[in-house]
Amino acid sequence: MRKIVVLKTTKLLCALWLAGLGVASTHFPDYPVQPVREYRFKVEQHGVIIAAEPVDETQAQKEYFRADLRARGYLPVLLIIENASGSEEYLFDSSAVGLAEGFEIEGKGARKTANAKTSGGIIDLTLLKADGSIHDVAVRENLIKKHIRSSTLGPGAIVHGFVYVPVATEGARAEVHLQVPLTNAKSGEIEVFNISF
Amino acid sequence: MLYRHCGYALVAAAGVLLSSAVSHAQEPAPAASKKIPLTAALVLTPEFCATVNKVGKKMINQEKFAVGKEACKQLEPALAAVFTSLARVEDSANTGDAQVVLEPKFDDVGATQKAFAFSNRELVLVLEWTVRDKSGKVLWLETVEGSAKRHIGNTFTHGSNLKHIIEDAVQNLTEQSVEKMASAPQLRRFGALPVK
Repeated sequence: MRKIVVLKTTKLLCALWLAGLGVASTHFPDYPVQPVREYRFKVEQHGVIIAAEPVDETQAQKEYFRADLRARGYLPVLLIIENASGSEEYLFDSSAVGLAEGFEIEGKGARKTANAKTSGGIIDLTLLKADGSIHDVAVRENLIKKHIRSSTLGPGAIVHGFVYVPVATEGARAEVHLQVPLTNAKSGEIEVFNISF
Repeated sequence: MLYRHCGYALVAAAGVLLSSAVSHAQEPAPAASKKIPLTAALVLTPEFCATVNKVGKKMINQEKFAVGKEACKQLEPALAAVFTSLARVEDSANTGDAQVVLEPKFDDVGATQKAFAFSNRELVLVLEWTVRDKSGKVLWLETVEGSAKRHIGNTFTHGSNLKHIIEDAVQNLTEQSVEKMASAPQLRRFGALPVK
């Protein structure tokens, strides 16, 4: 009886140890963020500047996300939003970010990606399930951690983070037309910022 | 005679101490004076309270973090210190006369496992807050992140450590929520508006 308990305990400890082994070696560095005006793709309206930086290179994806995301059918895009207006306040709802034009995705990851899109056409990470491997769970957690967060932007406030855009897994990447709506906290009017890259 | 004088002195000293204690009790607490003068309704739906983060592979190493249950236990008393009055409701359609409605929503982030039973692992929770006025207009939108680190533990301590990492992460999340909400200029300004 005692032998069985010891054996079971050893098995459980081994399972826990092996399960964690894959993640222990996974470190996800923070993606560097520059001042908003230094980015190539940016738009300025009513004192608000929004910049976007698509992370196209596989090497960079592997460095910051520990995965070839293009092969999975999505492109990480860093968004930086700065409220440079002197007095206005804006509400940024990250779930409202979307694509100006939806498009069909082709390639291996197409079906999986197609089932995990928001109404705006970008990837909803809560719908994108990991394949179950420990490494994949960690990759998914990191994608969520790096996701841009909803926020109230007072004068001078900056928010940054990633959105994930569905792309074809093969061939040249099509141009992406991203729409970022911000709501003026006082008037309730919605300002839509369009960025293409 | 001497004993009698000592007795009077003791009674007088006790009286002074007692009156001092009472006057301290009657003074408003520092936190209370900083409360936002608004009546708030905190919407904790049964779905929110039932939120469970599942981490790992089913039947192999899956762990369940019942973060919703703990959040529903901690958020109400903590946020009661931010507003002059706070009522907990289960449905955003039944908020009564509340001037503002507070709605939390969990984002899906789990625990990072580490290799050894004696090493630390981290549980990260992300909560998105939406505060609306009576008409439904969004006044304030903010995301808060709470985390806790604890030993994964062994066969015997794993259950207890799991319970504590949830409690600690939710406590951190609650503290962040209180801090951000209490210092939100949008809410303070709205609270300073004359009541219609």
